[in-house]
Amino acid sequence: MHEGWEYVVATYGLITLTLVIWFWMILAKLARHRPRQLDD
Amino acid sequence: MNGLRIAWTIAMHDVSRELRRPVAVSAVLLFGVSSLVVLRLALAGGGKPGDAVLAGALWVVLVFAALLGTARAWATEREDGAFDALLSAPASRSAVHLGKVLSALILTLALHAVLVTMYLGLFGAPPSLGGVATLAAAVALADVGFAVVGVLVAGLGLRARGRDLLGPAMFLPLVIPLVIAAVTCSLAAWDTADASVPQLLLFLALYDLTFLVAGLAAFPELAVE
Amino acid sequence: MQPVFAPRTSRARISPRLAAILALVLVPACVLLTFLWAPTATIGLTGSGETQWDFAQKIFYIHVPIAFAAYLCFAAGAWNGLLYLLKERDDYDIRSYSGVHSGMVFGTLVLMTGSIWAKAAWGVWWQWGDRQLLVFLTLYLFYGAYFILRFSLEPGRARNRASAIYAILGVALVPLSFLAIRIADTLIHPIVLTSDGDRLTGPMWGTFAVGVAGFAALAIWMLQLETTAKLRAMRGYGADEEAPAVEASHA
Repeated sequence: MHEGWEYVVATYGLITLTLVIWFWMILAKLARHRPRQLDD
Repeated sequence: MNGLRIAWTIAMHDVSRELRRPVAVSAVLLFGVSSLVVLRLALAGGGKPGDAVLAGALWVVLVFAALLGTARAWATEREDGAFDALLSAPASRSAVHLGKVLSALILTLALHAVLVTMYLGLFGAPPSLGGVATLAAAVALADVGFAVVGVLVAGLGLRARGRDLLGPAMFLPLVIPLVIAAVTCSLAAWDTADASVPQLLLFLALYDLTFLVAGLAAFPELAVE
Repeated sequence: MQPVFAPRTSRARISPRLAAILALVLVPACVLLTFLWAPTATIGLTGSGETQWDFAQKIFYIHVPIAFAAYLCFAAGAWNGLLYLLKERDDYDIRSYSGVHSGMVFGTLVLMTGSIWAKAAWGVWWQWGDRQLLVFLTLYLFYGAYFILRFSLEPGRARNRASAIYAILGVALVPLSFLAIRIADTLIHPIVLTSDGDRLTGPMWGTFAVGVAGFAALAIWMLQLETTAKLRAMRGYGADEEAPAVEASHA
């Protein structure tokens, strides 16, 4: 294992976590405000 | 030419009101003077602080004094409900904005002249006459930027609820480039930085011009009929 | 899946479906290439002739593309702010807001990953001498105030106009900050940090390019998702049907 691997793992983990939470929040918001009838 | 005359009339109107009843000036001046006294006492321990610390302290006081002074740019119009009347006046809205910038500039210059003089008395003046001139030029050019940005953000937050913290939140990030250049200029005035003063002053002028144009273009867009 | 991949309110020139597919392919590809293809950078040799590896440089392949994505989002915020002032259509306001919002999410990641990288590379959590980071911090603080401005104004045209103007001001702030830092920095203390550009080899550039493309696509996709979600919420779709719907005024 290279020196400094913890920092790299922390970085990629942080980014993954943030993106997952962000996606989840948007999808929840989209679902909450689903239009009654889908037009076209 | 007509627009400039309107701007001048608005500026003189504000200035003469402040001369009659110095509501804003007295409060900001008291703030600035107390800050300098607090700084003098806070920095008293451990011998004379370095020039870089002192230059930074000066600009912290100047930035906050300018912030408080310009935040009140539209205060009387708002309290009198005259803002929308001012916007719908036949005068061009850019002229109105320019007038407010001028009055804010005169106010800020006057306040800063007192504060800088007091600072020099408390902490010591630059070693050479050229240094004093450099400092004066930096403060004057920075004040144009403070006035221009301050009036612009005060206009943006005019209809806002809870304005107290909105002003600083918008003003401070916008003046970061200005402060960086002005502090460097002050360090050059005390001969602690081998900086090119003309280049820095040119940058300050460029900053002023950018936000002056931005303000003149943006202010008419704020009006909602 | 239809609304996620193709927000129906979108008239984007770039297909949302394309952006989504590109993001879902290129972002994981960038991570794989970072660890499997791009060689680990070296710092130099130790006294005893051993190679010193710079494993932390792996952060570069994702940190810098996310910074570009953040700039892209802020630019979208400013551009749509301008379009709002010109056309006065509510969806431009929402697009501009989405741009700033997404830019702040990416921006937070940029500052945090930049801080981790600084700790790994230089042993400090924040390197004030790093110009790009300073310019970014200034812009981040500036757009942070956008939310304070927006949420202290009553919804309506006055708020939309003030927000749009504020979003556009960021365009002036970036070059001015960069110039100020450059002028002050080179004169006070010459640059000691080397840029990464001069020690990147072919596979490193390739990985970086995939990352930039992937996060640009991700930014565009997120912008469109945010816009759709905010537009739906504004128009009062969904559960709380009683809530007064803000009328969308289409000029």
